[in-house]
Amino acid sequence: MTMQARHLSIAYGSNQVLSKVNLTLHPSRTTGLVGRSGCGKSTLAKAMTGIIPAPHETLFHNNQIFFPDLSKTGDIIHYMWQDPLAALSPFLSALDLICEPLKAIHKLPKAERQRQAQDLLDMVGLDATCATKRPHQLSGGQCQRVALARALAVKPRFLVLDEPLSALDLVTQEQITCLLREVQAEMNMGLLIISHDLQTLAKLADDIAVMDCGRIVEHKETQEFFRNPEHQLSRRFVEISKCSAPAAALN
Amino acid sequence: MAYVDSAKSIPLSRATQLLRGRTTFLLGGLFLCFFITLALGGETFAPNPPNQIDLLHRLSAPSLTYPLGTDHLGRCILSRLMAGTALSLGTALTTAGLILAIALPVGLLSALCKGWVDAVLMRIADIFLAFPMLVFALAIIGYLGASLTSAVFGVALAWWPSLARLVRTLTLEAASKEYVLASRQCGQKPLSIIRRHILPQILPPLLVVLSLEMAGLLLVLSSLSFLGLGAQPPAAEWGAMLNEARPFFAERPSVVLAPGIVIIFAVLSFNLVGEGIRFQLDKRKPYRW
Repeated sequence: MTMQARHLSIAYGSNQVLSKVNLTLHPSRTTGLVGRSGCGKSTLAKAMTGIIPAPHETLFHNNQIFFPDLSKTGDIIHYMWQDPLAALSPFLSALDLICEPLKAIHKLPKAERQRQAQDLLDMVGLDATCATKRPHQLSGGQCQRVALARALAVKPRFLVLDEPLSALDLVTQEQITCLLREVQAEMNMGLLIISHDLQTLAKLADDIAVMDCGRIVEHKETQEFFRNPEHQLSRRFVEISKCSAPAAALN
Repeated sequence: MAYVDSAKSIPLSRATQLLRGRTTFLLGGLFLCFFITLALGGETFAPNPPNQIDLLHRLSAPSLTYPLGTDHLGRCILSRLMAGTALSLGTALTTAGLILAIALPVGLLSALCKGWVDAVLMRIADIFLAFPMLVFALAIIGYLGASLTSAVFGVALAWWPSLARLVRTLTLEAASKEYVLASRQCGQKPLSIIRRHILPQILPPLLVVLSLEMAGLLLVLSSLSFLGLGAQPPAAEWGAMLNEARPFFAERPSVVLAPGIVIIFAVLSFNLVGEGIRFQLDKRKPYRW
């Protein structure tokens, strides 16, 4: 039960965004993806989830060729957008947004899907008053939690989270980190977390991949990555994260 | 300490706030409400039966019995104008509805199916657009025979391609929004996505265009009736009234001026309402509907 990208290359005209990227996601395992802005992290995630087309025979699910289709394979591998406000319809309330996959994918009756949606809102730490609000009436952090609740409502086998904790305060970050661990253990879900924050990945990820200029330059177990970063960029990331560690601890 | 008479200033400021930027819309809406009232009860409120001929009072000046005078057959002009509101506005509304009924599915299909469906539908629209719209409408009316129904069909068939192109453009933009992609990822079916996410985005701008188009449609339909290709005698329709009154303009100008002014005000009211809605939508912040 793996999801793999093998020799995945994507170019926009002469701009080579991804070049021969290899990445494997395992169930019940969290992979962290770090890299500088514009290095192709989100493009890789979007190609794996079918939001942008990937070349044939570059994606494999259980070693079978995988054709991601946004409308059909959202429950196999699901992408959570970086900007939650843009990814949530302004016409629907938080509860209705979470009910969408419960109705369309899991075919639940109305009462049951409303109950589950309410439970998911509780799980991500949103109170009942948020349920009837539309995205523009919620804060950035609340929108991010609604988006996460919706992604969890899909119950995908692999979940790709693009900067999932960026708009959250430290307490909520901790709460969501615990929630992700619980959900992962419960559903055997494979996670790919894109983040600039190595401290977050240190807590969440089992292994960390570093991207630079469209290539994965290093991919190691988290502890080994922090102990012995080999690539120049990895060393720089680890150094910076160690410098900011006291500040994080203070917070 | 300065004394502020809050009891007086607050309601006044609220009224000013309510009116600010909405004067165009309110003025247009007021005119439109007047016309809608006339359309609903024009014949009931009319001082005389609209088709009653009184040959003894042909082309008479305004009087208490005939407030705007009479036409060449002695029919009360005011009564005919009031009774004609339903027919004139009704045909324009029906035509707009018919145009929307053709343009909306064509534009949506074209934008969402893409590929050969888009190519075929848009080339058909291009062929229709290659003809001058009024000439094309005249050709269809010529084929179907002169009547108000033919005029409605002729105008609708000539006018749909430009609106279909607009619907296609709006849909393409709407469908590329991240929340539409996210909704597709959540397993939503195409029809549900159209209903829940695309229509709410494209309908407000379409409403503006349609309300502005309504003014144009009213003029075209009145022009067709004026040419004798729309409403046929003795129907009380504003354009047809202009046509019938044309030979008597020198003798009694009010016979021509009265329906002309009414058409101008009806067109103006649609333009003002359309402009008002456009202004309000332009002020709208992203994600706020």
